[in-house]
Amino acid sequence: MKAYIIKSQRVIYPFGSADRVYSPMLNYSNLLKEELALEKLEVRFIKSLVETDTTDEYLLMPDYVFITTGLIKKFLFLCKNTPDIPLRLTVPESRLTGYYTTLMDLDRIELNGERNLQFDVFYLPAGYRIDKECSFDKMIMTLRENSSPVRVVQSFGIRLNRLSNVNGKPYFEEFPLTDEIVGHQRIWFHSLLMNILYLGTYRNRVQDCQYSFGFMHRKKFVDTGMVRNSIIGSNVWIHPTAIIEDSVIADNVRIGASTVIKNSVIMRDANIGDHNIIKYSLIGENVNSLSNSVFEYSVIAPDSTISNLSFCYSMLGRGVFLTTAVIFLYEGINETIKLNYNGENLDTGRYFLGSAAGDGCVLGTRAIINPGMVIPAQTIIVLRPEEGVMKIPQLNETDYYIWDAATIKRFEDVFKEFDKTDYI
Amino acid sequence: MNVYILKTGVRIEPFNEDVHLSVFGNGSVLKYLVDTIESLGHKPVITESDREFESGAGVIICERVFVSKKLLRDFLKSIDKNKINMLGVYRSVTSAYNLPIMDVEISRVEDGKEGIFYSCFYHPDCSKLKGIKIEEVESVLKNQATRHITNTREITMDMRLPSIRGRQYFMSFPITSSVAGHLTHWVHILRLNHLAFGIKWLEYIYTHIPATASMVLKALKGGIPSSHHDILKRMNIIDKEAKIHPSAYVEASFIGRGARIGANALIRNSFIGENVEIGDGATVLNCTISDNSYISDATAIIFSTVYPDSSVSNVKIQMSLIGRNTFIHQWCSFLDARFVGDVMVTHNGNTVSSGSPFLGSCIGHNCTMAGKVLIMPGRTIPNNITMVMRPDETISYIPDNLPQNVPLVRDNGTLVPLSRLKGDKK
Repeated sequence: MKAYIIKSQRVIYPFGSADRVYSPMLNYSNLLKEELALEKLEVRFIKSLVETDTTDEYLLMPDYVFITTGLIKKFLFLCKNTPDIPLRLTVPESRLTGYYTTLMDLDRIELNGERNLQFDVFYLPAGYRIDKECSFDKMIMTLRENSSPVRVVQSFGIRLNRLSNVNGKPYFEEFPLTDEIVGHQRIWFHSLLMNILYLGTYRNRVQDCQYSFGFMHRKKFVDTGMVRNSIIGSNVWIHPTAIIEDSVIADNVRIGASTVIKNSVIMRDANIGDHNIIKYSLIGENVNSLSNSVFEYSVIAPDSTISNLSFCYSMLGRGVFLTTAVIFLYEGINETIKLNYNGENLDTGRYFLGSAAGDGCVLGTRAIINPGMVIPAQTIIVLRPEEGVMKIPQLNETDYYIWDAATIKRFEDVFKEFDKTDYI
Repeated sequence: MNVYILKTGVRIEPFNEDVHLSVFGNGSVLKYLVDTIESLGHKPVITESDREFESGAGVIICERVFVSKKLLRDFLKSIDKNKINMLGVYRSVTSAYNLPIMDVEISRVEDGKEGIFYSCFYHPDCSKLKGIKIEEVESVLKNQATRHITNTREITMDMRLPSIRGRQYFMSFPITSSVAGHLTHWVHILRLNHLAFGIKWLEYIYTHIPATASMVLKALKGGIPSSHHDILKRMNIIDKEAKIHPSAYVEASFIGRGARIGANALIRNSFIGENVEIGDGATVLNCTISDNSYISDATAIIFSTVYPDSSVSNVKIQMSLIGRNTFIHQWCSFLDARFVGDVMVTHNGNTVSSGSPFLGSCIGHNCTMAGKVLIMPGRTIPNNITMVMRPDETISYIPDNLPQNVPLVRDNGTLVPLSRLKGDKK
């Protein structure tokens, strides 16, 4: 059986086309790696429908869909012995879908009084004729109209993660644990949330699989001392005081002293400095993280240099340079965070969400970014000239000085109306 | 014997709430006073009118007075029971610790030393106080009472503070369980909570002698201690339902039920209340963290007091008092030292010295402090204040078609090319 993945025209701002978004665990290349696990499923990437072979049954999905093999298995099992009409993957609404499908472009359908979400994953029976000359978008529209829903129930567990108090009450995020995820990428935060969701089960998957995962030459499961329940690749150097729990560390990674890594995936050749805290994060290949950084619930694409005191619920593209004093605000103050998308204001319904920065950004000192912002690729943000001290004049020891407009001045020359003694 | 706690409606700025609701250790001041009085075998009476005074001997504690168990017991033991007595102690490191701005009576006593007198009285017949307005009871008793000095003992610990402009500061920090004070300003609540650790710790030792002995034995069983840290880190009072990561370092602290402490966290000489969450790599030194509070990852919180239900996610916060339901954002900063002279605070409309060059700020209840808010030392933020960032200081709007590979700067809430900004200046 074949699975066709069609290249769509969809663009995920600021990362470019859907297959450019960094998500090594969830996008279709993961299906390629795991096709052994699915019997007789052959994954093909196509640019137009001409390449499809309609003599046999097949799966059809666009490349903006994220789907894991667990759910494909369930879907194919239910599709057997069905009449000769296209079938569409349908999932009931639950706390799991509520976590990550906000603002996703989904069709909703009611079956037996229950609300369901429909995803663009189609099963086409053998001999079903499609118009191969028509465009992809038109094709999807026809399939959406003609297909009948197949209800697949996702299995999941819930873990409560405590975040800062909201309105004076402890705020617990219901964090689902599952290996059955399906979703559409529309806004960057969908791929962020789905990546974070999948980190835990990804660790289990790497542990269970017999074959190498591509990024890991030789893996070993470690559960002693400071490293607990984790999978460590070859040639990894871990400082004896580092704490690693429920994580995957790929080949050639270096981890510094007193670093805490929990529920995360660190890709190969990454360099994690001392006193870092990395929780629920995906750190890409060849990333260099400097000392005393905190990353929580974030995704960092390969080749970035990162050093930040607090980087949460945010996503970085490839080759980003992020300095310490860049501030990604991520907490809505007593209200949920709004996103600006194609000129409309969308409410994400989340109290905690950061920002995204595209490929090749350079984020310099004192760039303060409000929640829900998107910084386009190849942007360079530098310090405002008057905020740094560029010139130092002749100074007198007995005076008090302040920093003003790129230079150092006497306090009383700038602020005549203020009492100097209050501020020293 | 009845112990009358006079309710005269004293309120503390900026919280504007009953002084008895102030945090002390793992409860409130009133809870501590009532527990103390009951454990000494007396009956606490919260007095709102003079009709509640009964005949017989009694102790009258004015509302704003805090007195610890040991001091109250020693006072009652040593007095002449036929006279009206006023509680006093010699000036010492402990009594001087939270003395600035306090409205206590300071006078020379017979042996030439300086005595500090608090509004806590012993009266042989309380029925004589009937017919006096409750607000005037204190001044009437002050006129009649003999000044009685109670002897106290204290251990002091020298602490090194930062040096400012070449001057090295040291502080001798008292560890004692004989403490009294008038709570008239938020600084007193903060300083009292600094002393709370010593008070509670010594009281625990006196009341739980077998438990303490077994704790010491257990501490010694782990091998010959190489330093005092080696003993102290095994002398914690931890609730069984608290979850502490094995790599966390906890030394001489009280940890409440349901508290969670993250990996590599450092906690010393602190009270951690119930259901508190302390993130990974956080540092908590000499603090009182009340119930349901949240301290985020990699936060350093030092010599501070946090009321219940607050979230603190500063990078570093020192010598500050945080109110209830308050949210301190990641990049909000409280400056905590003055370079010349002492930190000044406002009290009853006047600016007065707080007695130390090191002091942070006080945040009221239900406040939200957003990023990049800088507060000078000794300032007070009233209740129900929401401070947000200046919109022109953040990047809150990203225009379309930004030029690539060109240095951009933040300007009035958006991004503009650096070259255009320079052109404007010219």
